[in-house]
Amino acid sequence: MTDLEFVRADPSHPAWRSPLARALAHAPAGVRDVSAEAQDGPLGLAAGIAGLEIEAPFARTLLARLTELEPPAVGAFAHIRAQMTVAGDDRYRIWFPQEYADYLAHAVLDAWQGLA
Amino acid sequence: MRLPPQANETIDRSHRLTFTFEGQPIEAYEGDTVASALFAAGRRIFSRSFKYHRPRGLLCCSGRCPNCLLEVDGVPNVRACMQPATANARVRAQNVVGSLDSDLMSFLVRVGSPFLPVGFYYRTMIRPRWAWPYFERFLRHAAGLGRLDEHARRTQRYDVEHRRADVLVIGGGDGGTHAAAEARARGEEVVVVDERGRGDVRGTAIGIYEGGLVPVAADKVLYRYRAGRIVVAAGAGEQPLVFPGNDLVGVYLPEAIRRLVGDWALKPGERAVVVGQAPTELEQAGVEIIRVADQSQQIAARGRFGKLRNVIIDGEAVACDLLVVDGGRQPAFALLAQAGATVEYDAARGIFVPRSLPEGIHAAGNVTGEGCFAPPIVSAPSGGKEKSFVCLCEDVTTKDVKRAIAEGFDSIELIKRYTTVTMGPCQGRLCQLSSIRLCAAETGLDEAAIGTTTARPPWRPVELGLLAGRPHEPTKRTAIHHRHKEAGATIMWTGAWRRPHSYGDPAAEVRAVHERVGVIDVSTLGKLLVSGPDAASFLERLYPNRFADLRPGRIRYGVLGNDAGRIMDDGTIARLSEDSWYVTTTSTGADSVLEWCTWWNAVWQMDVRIESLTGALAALNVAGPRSRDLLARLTDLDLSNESFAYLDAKRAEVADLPCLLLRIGFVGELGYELHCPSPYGEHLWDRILEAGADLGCTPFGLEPQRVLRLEKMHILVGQDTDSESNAIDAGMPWLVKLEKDDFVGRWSLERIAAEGGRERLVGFVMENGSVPLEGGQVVVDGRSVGRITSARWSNAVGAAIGMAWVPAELATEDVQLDIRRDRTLERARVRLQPFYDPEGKRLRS
Repeated sequence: MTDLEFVRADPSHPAWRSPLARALAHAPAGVRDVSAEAQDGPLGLAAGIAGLEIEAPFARTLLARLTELEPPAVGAFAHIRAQMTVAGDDRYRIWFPQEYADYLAHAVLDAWQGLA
Repeated sequence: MRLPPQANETIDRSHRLTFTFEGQPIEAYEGDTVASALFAAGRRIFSRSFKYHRPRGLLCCSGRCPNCLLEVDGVPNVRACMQPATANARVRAQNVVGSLDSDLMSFLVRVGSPFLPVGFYYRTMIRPRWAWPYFERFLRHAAGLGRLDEHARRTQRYDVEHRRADVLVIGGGDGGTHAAAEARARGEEVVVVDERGRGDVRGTAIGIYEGGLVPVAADKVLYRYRAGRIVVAAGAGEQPLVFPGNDLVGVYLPEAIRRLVGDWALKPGERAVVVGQAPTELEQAGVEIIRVADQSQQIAARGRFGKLRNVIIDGEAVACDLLVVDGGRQPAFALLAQAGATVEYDAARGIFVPRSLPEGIHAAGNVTGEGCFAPPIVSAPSGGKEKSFVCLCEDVTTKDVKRAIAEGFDSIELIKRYTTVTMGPCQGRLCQLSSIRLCAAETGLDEAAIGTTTARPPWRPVELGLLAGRPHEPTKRTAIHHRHKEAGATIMWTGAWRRPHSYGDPAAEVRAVHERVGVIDVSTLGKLLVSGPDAASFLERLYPNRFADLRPGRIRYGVLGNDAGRIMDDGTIARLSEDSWYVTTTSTGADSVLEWCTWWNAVWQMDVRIESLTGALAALNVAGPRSRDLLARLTDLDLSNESFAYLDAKRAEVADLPCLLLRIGFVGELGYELHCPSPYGEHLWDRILEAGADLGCTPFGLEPQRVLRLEKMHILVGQDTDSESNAIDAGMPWLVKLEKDDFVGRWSLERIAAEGGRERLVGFVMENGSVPLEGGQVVVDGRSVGRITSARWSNAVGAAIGMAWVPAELATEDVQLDIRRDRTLERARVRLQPFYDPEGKRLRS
């Protein structure tokens, strides 16, 4: 085993669990878990990153209720450091430290509820 | 009663609605405000004043004065003249005992008012001191602006939204509209914010903050605007005149007449006296204008039960029920002043005007002073019974201001603080000019020399809920968190983490670790990978102990010190290979240690790479005499003591998952820390509990962990140490290698080693078996000489044990200590060796 092998996780491994699985279990269709697609990046290694996709006509407004930044950007999102990417029209992805999965999912779903 | 339809009325007579006021139904039209509907229903008294509980009626009808503050649907201090009437709203009076028309407090305050001069609370009611709580309760009850239910929970949703624009125009009047049109013609993205909805956003700009941030309160959303340029077109505000009886119900500013008649088709009165120019709406409404006076004439108003009865003009009494006073118009410069503009007095026009606007800030329309003029103050006839109010919000009279000046508070900023003039809901819109003029008259200075008070946000009243926004509290949870909840764990805060305190029976969990095997989620530990050719030298410089001599595959405990040698953090450092080190930190110290390492690496410019693995890795500690048996069921790794000794680190597959295994023993038993990718953490947890079921494997939480580590006298940084603690005094001199090259904090530790520390961290056993309070005092000869940092009952030791900082001379085995509990002293004995397994045989077994 190499130095960093114990830090690599394979989403296709049967032991792999998404940190957002429970938090988004009853989420609307426009809020999706994309943690399996996480890559090593400015927030650290993929194993430590959760990803959440928001798609809705009001997706940009929803983001504006949680961040001052204009995606794509890296910075504060709902008071935590996150990476925001544009995935398409009215479709954005938020990448963030997996330990905040429940918290951030709650913040996004709460903002969704305020707009939907 | 409504007037016939008016040309530009804002009410929709085809849509009716009903709300309640003090439980009584009130009919309204769509487009009415709460105030206009109440006025149509015959109400004239809308509030009671802040201090004297005087009846107050509509004055400005433009959201600037405090006279119509009511409670709407439980929200206090709602400006009724701006609040749209909505069906089923519940409207109530505030700051009254009884009713608006008959407020008991007004009678009490009238009797007591001679004893309540300006600033009375600075010099009366302060003795006897024991009586202050009673005075305070009375004052809080008597004065104020509505009541908040301190037990209420969030009843309304408030959101915060960030927005951007090239140009933000504040104010949708002529000046703002013109400025917006010009900017749009240049192709700029423009947003016009206006309180009355004459723009793109109906809302109120409550301030201009650093960096051009403009929060806009728009119903239940606070928009945080950032714009390339900000155009302030806030207009100008009508000014009241200061004369006896100027607060009587029936005294109006011209704008109020325009809105009452023009917008809501309401007749403001029957017989009017006008000071200044009469609004055309009076005639339009069929009001009889009895007299038109000029602002230089002496005016006094007389009333009965707080309502206007007649006006005395130059000594001649004129009966009327309506007095319209036009005190001129003062530019609403507050937002510009907040943004950094200077404000100067224009003596020719009697107004303050903004000058020297900062870059990116512009002014348009009346706010520049265009079309504004304010006639001089009216000298009031003396000897009248009625008070002359400078500030309606705070019930500050001319007498109050004069008294403050006579007492030496003769600058406008001191007058503001002593009398609270300009500090009420109007924020000086109606009282700043008057108070400055009165100050000028009393001090002999001119208005330019006196200047204005500092303009601060919020410029308009704003709901606290809007400022609070949504309740977001960033919270960390490990990948295994939900398993803990499913297992019935009690969850507690540790820093930003939510962690299991225990799973129901901490003592049983401790016993399981001592006798069988337990597993605890330690994913919260900070984890760093320090790698590169200079990694060993880097750690040598950073830590007081040696690392260069550590063989790959071995672990060493390290205490991280700051420049002054004080303990910052602790953890284990495993050498994975020649150039690769795995460093763990405390859970709460993860971020600060990462910053610390990164900072020193930048200073020393060494060939070292530092990566945080904290979130990427889950970590479990499997501990207890059966832990080896348990792990042997999940891995092919040779776990024998010979092959995998205490303080060894190995990488291997456990439960078919890639793991780093660290054989360490924070809880004092044979134990292994398993670090694996976070997404596998839950699976690994499940497999360990399954595999260990027949061995009695039990999850254990933080509370049992704290007992277990205390039995071993293992310190908790932050619990047993503070910002003054160093490794030598904390009982770890073996860790400080002064013979090696320079390291962070060396100078300080050298001095401590040479001079001997004043305090030592020691263990103690209570003689009477009672557990003392953490933070309790260690006493010698009646003096407090030390403090307890940790204390618990230990079944394994059969005693109440703890750790404490004591004077160095007391740090001797079996020395007696006295520990204070309330007013009694309890006896304890010093222990310098771990309470449990002092030789560490169990760790190494």
